[in-house]
Amino acid sequence: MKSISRTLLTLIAVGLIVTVSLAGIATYLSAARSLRDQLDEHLVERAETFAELVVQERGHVQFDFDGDLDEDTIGALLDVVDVTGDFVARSPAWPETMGTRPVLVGSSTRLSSVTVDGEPARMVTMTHEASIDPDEPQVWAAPPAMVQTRVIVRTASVDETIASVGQSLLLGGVIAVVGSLLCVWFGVRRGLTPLSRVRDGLASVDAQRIEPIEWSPEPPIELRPITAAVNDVLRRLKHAMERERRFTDAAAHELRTPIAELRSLTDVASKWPDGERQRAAIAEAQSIAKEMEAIVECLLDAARGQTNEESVEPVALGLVVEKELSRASARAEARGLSLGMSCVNGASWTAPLAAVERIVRNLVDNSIEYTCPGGSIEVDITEQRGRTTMRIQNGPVSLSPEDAASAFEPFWRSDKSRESRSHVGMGLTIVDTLARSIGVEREVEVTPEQAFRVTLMQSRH
Amino acid sequence: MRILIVEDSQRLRDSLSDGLRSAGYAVDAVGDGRQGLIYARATDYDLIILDMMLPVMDGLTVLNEYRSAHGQSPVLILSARDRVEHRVEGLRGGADDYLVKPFDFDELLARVEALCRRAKGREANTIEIRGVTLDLASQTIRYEDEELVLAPREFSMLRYLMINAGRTISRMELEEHVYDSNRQVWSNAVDSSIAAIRRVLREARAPNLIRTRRGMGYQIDTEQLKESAPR
Repeated sequence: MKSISRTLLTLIAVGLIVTVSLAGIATYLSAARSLRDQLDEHLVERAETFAELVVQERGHVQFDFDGDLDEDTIGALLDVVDVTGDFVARSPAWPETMGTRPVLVGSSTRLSSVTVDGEPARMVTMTHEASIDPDEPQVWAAPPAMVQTRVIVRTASVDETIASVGQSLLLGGVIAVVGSLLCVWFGVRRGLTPLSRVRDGLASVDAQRIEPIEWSPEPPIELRPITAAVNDVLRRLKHAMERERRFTDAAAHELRTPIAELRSLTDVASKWPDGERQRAAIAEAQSIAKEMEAIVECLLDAARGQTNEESVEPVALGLVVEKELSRASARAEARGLSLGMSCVNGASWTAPLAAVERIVRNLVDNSIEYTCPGGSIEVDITEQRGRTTMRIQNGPVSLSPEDAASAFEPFWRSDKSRESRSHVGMGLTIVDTLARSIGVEREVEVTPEQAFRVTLMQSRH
Repeated sequence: MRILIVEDSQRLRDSLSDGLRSAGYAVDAVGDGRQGLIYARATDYDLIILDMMLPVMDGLTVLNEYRSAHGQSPVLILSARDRVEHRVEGLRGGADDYLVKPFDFDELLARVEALCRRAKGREANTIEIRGVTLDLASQTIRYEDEELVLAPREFSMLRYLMINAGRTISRMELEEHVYDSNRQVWSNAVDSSIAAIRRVLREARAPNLIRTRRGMGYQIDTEQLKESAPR
């Protein structure tokens, strides 16, 4: 069943009906039994009263009662017989079908259900001794005679009472079930209202502008983990979309600016044709084309990740760093930067050589570009607890500690205007992508001493 | 008409300056926001072309500070940021127009003309004074269907005088709106240009529109001045 409210209502309804029915049946049975027990007790008491009226005088058993024994007078049917089967007393309407000869051995009281004139009735059969008057002369003294006293009471009124109790219970049960179901239905609806609010809240999320939902009023405790999880997802989505937007903005700027330059150059050159102007425009257009090619290459490098599983091998980091520092030494010298490195023997990463070379080259180039003249670039390669770490630190730099969080973002440059065209701000993005693809963890920080530090760590598999 | 370009891309700055100068405008161009603000405050430009992503001070801040200081020149934003919210942000920030890079130079020129025209409170594209017609769209001046060929500087000067017809324009104002800051303006440069314009008008048998107001400057004779509808 797909509807929570329907499921809850069905389960609760079935539970209620079963519970109320069982309770009703139990109550009915208990009441019926109690009424019948009371009837039986009353019947036995009456039988005992009648039995006390059976007396033995002068050797004869008599029923010491002067009135009529009809049912209307004594409220029951009575039959008293002696040991020979002769009746001592009998109601006129006593049914003949009950006239079996008694077996009078010992005292006993027995209850049974019988039918009188087609109506249900209860009968008590009491076997007892006849009472002997203590003043009876000795000449008549004889052992007490055994007699059987039977009393029948019609049970129609009791059965009607029991039926009435049953009907009342049934009616009460139905009302209780219906009332309870209405309460449950209302309760379930109220209980599920917060789910509707969650649904409305989710429906209100604008795909163009994702924001965590302000839940008002606050959802119930049971739903809070869900709403918190939803907001967490929305926050991450918002972060991802902002990142995407920043990337799009940056890409738009990086690509549109050279296109705008190209169009403006060619438009002006063709609108006011002039030999010198056209020659300059062509030269500039070629230069712009090269820059755009570099941007596209950087984007493709970042997208591809440039890893090839088949070419994975242990790469000696010291050799790669040495080679790249040597390649960059002339540029570093021109800017007055000092280069230094330290490396433990045999330190290596397991990765494609080309990927490691590209990572180191980008980091070194980035350091040379952004370190203030007269600064230093230091590369340290260490091994500890199964991890090979390469740390490249350059400084001083014109960066704030907050800039570290953005350093791996595409097109990010400390120069917000991206005035410099020699770099497009993709170097560290490519480092990030490549490092991720070869299982290298990355950390970036700007130290209080204005040093930019990138730490790359690979664990030995 | 004097235009300030605030654009960080050297190439774009150069080609825009080149194109606008060729179209007869005096152009000053700077590469960062702070310099742009200093230039904008120092000179009464007829138009400012402003990039958004600028070094030192971004374009929106430049615009806000310029407007806060009661800068009145129309501002055309030229930006690679093309989203609606960026345009709204720029226009609400005080810009008069927004053009997304890359752009067609002719479209830029048309917008520049429209903004300059609107800034002078005119609707028409042409101004006719005593048979001499200035067409701002085609950047030409005619007298009775004959095009008057003027050097770019003289054209700019006559255009400025015709746009401000009836008002006496001082030599200093003419220098400010016709020459850009990189040009050395000789003391008699304005007088020489006026003389050259008068000569061209005379050769075309056109009336001498420019009246010299001694000690005050120059003025276009407003008699018979009328504006025609846009073409």
